[in-house]
Amino acid sequence: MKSYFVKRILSSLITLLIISFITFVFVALLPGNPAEVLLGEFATPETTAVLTHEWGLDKPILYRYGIWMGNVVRGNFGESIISRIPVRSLIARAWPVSVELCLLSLVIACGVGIPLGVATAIMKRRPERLAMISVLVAQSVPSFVSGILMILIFSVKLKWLPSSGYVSFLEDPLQNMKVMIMPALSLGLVIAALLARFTRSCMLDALGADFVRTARAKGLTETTVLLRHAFRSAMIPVVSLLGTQLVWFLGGAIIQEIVFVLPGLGRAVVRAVMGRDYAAIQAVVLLMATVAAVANLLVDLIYGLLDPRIRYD
Amino acid sequence: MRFSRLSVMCVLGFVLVLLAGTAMVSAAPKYGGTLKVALWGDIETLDATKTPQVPVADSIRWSIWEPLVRYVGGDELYEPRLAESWEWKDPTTIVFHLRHGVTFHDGSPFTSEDVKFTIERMKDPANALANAGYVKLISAVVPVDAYTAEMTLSVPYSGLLTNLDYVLMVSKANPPTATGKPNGTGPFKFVEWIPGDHLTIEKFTGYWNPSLPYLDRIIFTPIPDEQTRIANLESDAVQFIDDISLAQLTRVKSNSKLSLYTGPIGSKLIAALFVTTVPPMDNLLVRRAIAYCMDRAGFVSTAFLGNGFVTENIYSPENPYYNPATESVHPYSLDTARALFKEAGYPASFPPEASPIVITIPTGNPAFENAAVLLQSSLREAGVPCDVQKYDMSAWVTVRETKQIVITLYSYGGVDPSIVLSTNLISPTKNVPHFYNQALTDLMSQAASTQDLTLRKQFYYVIQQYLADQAPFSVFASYETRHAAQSYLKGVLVSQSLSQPYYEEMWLDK
Repeated sequence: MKSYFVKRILSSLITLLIISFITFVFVALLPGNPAEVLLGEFATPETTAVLTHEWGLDKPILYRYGIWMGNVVRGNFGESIISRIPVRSLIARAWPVSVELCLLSLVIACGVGIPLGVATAIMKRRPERLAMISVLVAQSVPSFVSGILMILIFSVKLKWLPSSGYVSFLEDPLQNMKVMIMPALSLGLVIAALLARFTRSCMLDALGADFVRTARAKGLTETTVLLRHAFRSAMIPVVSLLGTQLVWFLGGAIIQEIVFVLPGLGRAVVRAVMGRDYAAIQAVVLLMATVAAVANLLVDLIYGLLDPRIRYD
Repeated sequence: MRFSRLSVMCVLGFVLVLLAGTAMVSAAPKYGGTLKVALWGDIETLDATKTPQVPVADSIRWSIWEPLVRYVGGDELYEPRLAESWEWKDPTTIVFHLRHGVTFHDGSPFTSEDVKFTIERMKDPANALANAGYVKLISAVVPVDAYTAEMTLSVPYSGLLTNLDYVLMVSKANPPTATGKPNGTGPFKFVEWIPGDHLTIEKFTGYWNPSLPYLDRIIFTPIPDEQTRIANLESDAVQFIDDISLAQLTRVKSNSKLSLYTGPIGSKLIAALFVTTVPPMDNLLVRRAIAYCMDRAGFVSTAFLGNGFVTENIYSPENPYYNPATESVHPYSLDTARALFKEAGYPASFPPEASPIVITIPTGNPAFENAAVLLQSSLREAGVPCDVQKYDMSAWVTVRETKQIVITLYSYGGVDPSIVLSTNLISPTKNVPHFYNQALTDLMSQAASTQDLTLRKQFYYVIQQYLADQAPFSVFASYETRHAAQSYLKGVLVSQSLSQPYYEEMWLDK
């Protein structure tokens, strides 16, 4: 198992290197540059050239990539081109917000989606149909639409929840929950719907399997059959799906962060792209790729816990 | 005890006067409170002298820094700010008498040395400051004494004072930098900036006008999504939002708890620019034909829901130099357009492989998208294939600069007619249509430098007629910039030059 994980880590590092290079080149080749963003309508070839030179953007792409990579290895992600703020501090401020949003959304998605999926697999027809219609609606409504609707209902009309203004959990837990509940719901419910349908499908497969028939034949209670046998088997593909959806969470969080004005990584990367802030774009993409790689590794670990037959070579 | 009717009336009258007096007293500005403002875009830098970006301008530009004079329009035209008074010694020399007792936020005094430093810093190409064009005609600044600065121009220029409204006075000892603490003479001083989250400023107790500002603190939050921004205002999470789109006016107007504030009438205009050095825009007949395809009334009713003004003139009708003869040189007429296209050599129908005329626009501007689609539809109806291509703002600036476009859209404004003519619209040094004409340039210089207002008007009339005839661009419409606020926010003033809000006289009536 040790050698398996060493190999996985090494291959992840190579993947991250390739991702960072491709991102660097693609972003550098985009039309427009940060000097034009800053100077706007008043950009002239002369002023643009002065700033481009000042920021080192007139150097060859490979040279700039090499410098950047060398700094990254030393833990220095550079400075935001326009604001001159170290990218590391921009990310340090932003990532806890995104992580909190993703975790809350994940809890909602799993807490609603998996039980609903299990329930609809064992329900009778009419309740099961009602539940599936609700799931379809939840999956069909885009998260930015549900987000804005929630703001209009709970913030504008009812004034129960704030429409914006992030406060960290450590500063004020109650206010933090009030701020985060709507974005977490609008993001989590979409995944909950997907999870519910997938879990239902996996449960139905498991419930029809031979080992479940054997468990029933042995005289085990239905609850034991469901939870200890069918559910555990059904969770293997569900866990795999969750692993792939984790990256979706990070991407989907961008929409929620914009709608609910949360200062997370998603908003940071949108600002960076619009402003051609190359250093910030690189750092955030690298961070997200790392999260995806770590998530996949964790999913593999959980596989082993769920299914003792799985061995790592 | 019996009271006469007269005595009862006197008592009632006294009570009414007392109540009226109380009401008048309660209408006086209240000191204190924190104002929360939602901006439509992110603040990218703390150096407001470096960028014309509106979110920066709408927040810290005139809160933290100040100019020598402020354009206010009307009969007075200019209001003294850091300069108490000024006089022209001759057509190219103006003397400013600076206000005494003004200090920067770091406590250092504001003197004529700072005026000289500010102008020279803007003119220095090594600093690459966005607004350098506003001072290009200033050849020298001489500090006569600590509170007197003599400014010399390279040529007479009647728009100087309007230009100086955009020139923020900075400290020679502690000038602005991208990350350094902003240091100005304005009514508010910098507190903190969390990029992407908020920027906070607070009352400067050493401000030269001791009765201002009223507010203790202002917190600016960027909320790019307009629906969220307006929802925040409706829920009272913020009290002021800048630059709402005209399509949202009905929603704001229908809310009795909200108020609207507008910039000067016709403060912004939208035009289609034709790159005159690239086929087919190098053909005047084609440019005129496209101008006839512009459904201006349709644009105002769809893009602005009627909240705009149809005009084809480079200036809005409220501008004193507006030439009514050029109001409608190319009224919407597809038949006329077809005839002109035919005269220009366009076939009645195009083969499938024919290259369409491409209208290139930046994303994120609903008015531009609306105008582009309308124009595309008209051109197709006139028999000319046309596509619309979108780029984000940064890429649009690049493709525009590298002449990869034939038509684009442009929004501009400006109070002084010479300022409008110095923009990318038709500046003699650099403009998007690449339309350069020495006679036109000479006329522009003469118009800008003449002190005789009647003669100046005549010059601008000729310029407007010439541009209308040559059609390097064609204007769609003019509109006003609008801001929205909670009704209990009082004292809202909007710049008459750039439509941006001034915060020093705002106060919270709650």
